[in-house]
Amino acid sequence: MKVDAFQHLQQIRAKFGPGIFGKIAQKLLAIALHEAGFFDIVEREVQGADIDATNIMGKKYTLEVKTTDGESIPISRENIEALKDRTKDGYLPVIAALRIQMFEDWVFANIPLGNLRPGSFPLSRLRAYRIKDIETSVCPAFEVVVNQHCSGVLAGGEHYLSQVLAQKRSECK
Amino acid sequence: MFHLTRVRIRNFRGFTDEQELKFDQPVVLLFGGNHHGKSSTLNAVEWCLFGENCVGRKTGIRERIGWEIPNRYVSGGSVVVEVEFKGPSGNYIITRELRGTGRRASGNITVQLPDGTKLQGEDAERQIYTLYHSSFQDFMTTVYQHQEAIRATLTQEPRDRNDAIDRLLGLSEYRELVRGIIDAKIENIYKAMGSDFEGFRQLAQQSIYIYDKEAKEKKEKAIAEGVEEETITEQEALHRTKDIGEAVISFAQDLGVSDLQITMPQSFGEVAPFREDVKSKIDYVWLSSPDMVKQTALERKQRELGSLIGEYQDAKTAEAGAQTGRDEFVQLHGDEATLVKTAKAQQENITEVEDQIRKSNAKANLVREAVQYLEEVVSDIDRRRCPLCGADAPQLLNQLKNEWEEKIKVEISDLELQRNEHQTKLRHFDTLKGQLEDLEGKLAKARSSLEECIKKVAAALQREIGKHDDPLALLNTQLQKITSELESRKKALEKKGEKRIAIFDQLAKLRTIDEILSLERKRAIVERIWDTREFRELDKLRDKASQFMEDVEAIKSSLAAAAREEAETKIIAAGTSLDKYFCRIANHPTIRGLALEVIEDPRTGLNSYNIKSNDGLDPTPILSQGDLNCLALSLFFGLAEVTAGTQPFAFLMLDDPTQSLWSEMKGQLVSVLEEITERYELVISTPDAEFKNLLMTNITKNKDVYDFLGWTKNNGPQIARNA
Repeated sequence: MKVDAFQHLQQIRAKFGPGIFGKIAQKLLAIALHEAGFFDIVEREVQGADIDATNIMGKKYTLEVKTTDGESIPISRENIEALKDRTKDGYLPVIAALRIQMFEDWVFANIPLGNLRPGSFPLSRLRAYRIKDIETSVCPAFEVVVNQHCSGVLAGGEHYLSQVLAQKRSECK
Repeated sequence: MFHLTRVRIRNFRGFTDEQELKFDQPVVLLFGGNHHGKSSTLNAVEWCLFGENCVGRKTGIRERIGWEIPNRYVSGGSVVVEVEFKGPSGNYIITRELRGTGRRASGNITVQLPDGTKLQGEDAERQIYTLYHSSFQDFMTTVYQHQEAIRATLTQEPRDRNDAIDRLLGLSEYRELVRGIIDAKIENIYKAMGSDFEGFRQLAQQSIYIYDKEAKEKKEKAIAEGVEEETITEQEALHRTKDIGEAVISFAQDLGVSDLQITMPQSFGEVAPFREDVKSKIDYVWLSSPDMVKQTALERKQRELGSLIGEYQDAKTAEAGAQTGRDEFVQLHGDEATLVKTAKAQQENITEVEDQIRKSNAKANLVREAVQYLEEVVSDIDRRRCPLCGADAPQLLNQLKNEWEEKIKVEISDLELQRNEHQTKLRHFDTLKGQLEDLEGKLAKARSSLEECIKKVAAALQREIGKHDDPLALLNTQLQKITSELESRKKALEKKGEKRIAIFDQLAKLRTIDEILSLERKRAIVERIWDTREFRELDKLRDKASQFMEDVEAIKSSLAAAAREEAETKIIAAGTSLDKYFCRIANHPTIRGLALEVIEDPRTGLNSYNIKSNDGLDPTPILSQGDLNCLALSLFFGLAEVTAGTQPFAFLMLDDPTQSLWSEMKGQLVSVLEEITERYELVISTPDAEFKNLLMTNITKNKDVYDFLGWTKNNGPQIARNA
């Protein structure tokens, strides 16, 4: 992630605080997935995996979205269960993690669910399971989305991004 | 199944000369005190079968680390252990030899088959494995109950007890491998790599923050100075250079310089040299223009005249001072002629007085000599006559003496006083003359300096200066003229100078823009690091390192899982045997339904064992050392029982099994052993006489006893067969 996008994310976090920021980052990622050519995107605010998305080849992914300042992310039993649950419908479980630091990008990791334990999970371990194809298309799209919608988010918060997502979904239809 | 029939030992550990022990009875007891060679005898059988595999850390037995095979007190001789087994097809003789020690040690193994065929080296090792299908771990778990294994089980430290139970179950290799992975601390290397990378990332981040901060500050300053924010671009900076170039040429023409050449920048990188070039050219044009040259000349003249005024005033003051000094002196002391005249008069006075002195001296000499003559030379009679004329002069001597004292001496003294006074005056006049000469010299010098100064003034004013001219007034008049001209010229130049200042102002803005853009460029360079091929390669390497870490973790987990699985299998197989033997040997009043449970140690991934009784509680806190020993023996017997069907060996070796057992337990152990003798032959080593007696009394099978009577450095164990 380049400096501009990072600074925009910092502004957003400074305004809304870490809790809301996590939800905003999730929505921004959902929009970035749209921009990167994914479809059938479902972004959940409450129960279940955070995002479902299908790529152009028809491969289905279910994402648990995590943002952090440090070098590890918290994984809960519910997160693991949510991912496991979606695998029944043919989704590939993915942890999408972003360290909010300059020059850090989203890591999309298809870590075997058996290797996941509730607790703190080091980001460095996710590297072994990176899905480069997703990262290559989604990370640049995410930067564009952040730069494009930063002022909208700062003005309208989560609601603004929900509207953008709804619009994207209707465009797809 | 294979029966142990004989062992021949030479130079192995405590052994020296060759000794042979036969195991031709169902129960063979090795009895004797500690350090008499009993355990070495059992170890010799093990070493003969497994060689290096039963030595060192990999065995999981602490005593085997740095274990010495050759007898350190015997020099030169090779170690030989020969074991004979009776198998289904006949007798097999295995001979293992070791020559030398340390790195120069070389070994050999021979297996003699029942048909007399002899196999050596790797063939022999393969043959042993083919015959027994037994590893050292299997042997240690189900055939040879080690003394050390019991000792370790007795420990209260969970880690050590887990180690010991792993060993009892033959899982030391797994444990060693997992521990090796843990001790390698690969994750630390990986963490250090991550930390280095993080340091680099932070450095880059810091650089960007600094560049951003500086650029922001400069931008704010530039905007405050009238630069429009949208013009802070490379393109706009180049446009600005064009305007500046044109302004400089126009400015040069205003000043009368028509041939000025300026190289215009073609790219943003050339802006900085352009700025320097333009700056030096403006200075050049400004300083070399006719108006400026004239002004400079006038300013120089102004400074020159100003300096001359000061110089003239100083010279004039000095001359006046010298004149006054000299005049006052003359007034006080007279001029040179007066002084010379006065000095001459004094000299004449001195001459006159000296003449009087000389005359007085002649008379004085005469009187003095006469007195001397009258006093020293003549008689009293002659003394009354004049020595010159012979006339009577009775008072002559007295008269002469009076003359000398009252007249001559006083007269001469007065004259000398007068002479001194004249001489002092003469010297005073000489001094005054010298002072006058000095004053005259100073006056002459001051006059000369003034004349020189006047000449300079004449040269500066380019005119002659006569006696009646006042140089100071002339200088002031000229200076006024120049100052006035300079003022009018400066006013004329100020207008042209405004253009120059405007160009400098433009240059300063260009410089600020250049600096802002340079900072942004530097920032962009740092940012681009993340797009470089090198960075992508580094990123891949980090991924690979992470994959490696995951692989290592997977191997570690697999090993731990395999160890756990195998432990569970063995524990399940031992099943009720563990409880059965424990209840029989320990005969504990409350503990029943003893079972061993294996779980994963969450910290290390290694096996962790829980012992539970039928009430679901861990009984170890209430177990005595004897109980724990019973537990270890129970586990061994349980495993031996489980493997009885598949076990290649028809014997068990027990090394000091009664450690910490009290009498009742020993009795129970013997009763268990009596039962075991139905399935296995037994070789038991013990220093325990009570246990020996119990065995001899209660074991119904034939028994053989080897008494280990003592041990000496030169002869090794002293063994006596006592059937």
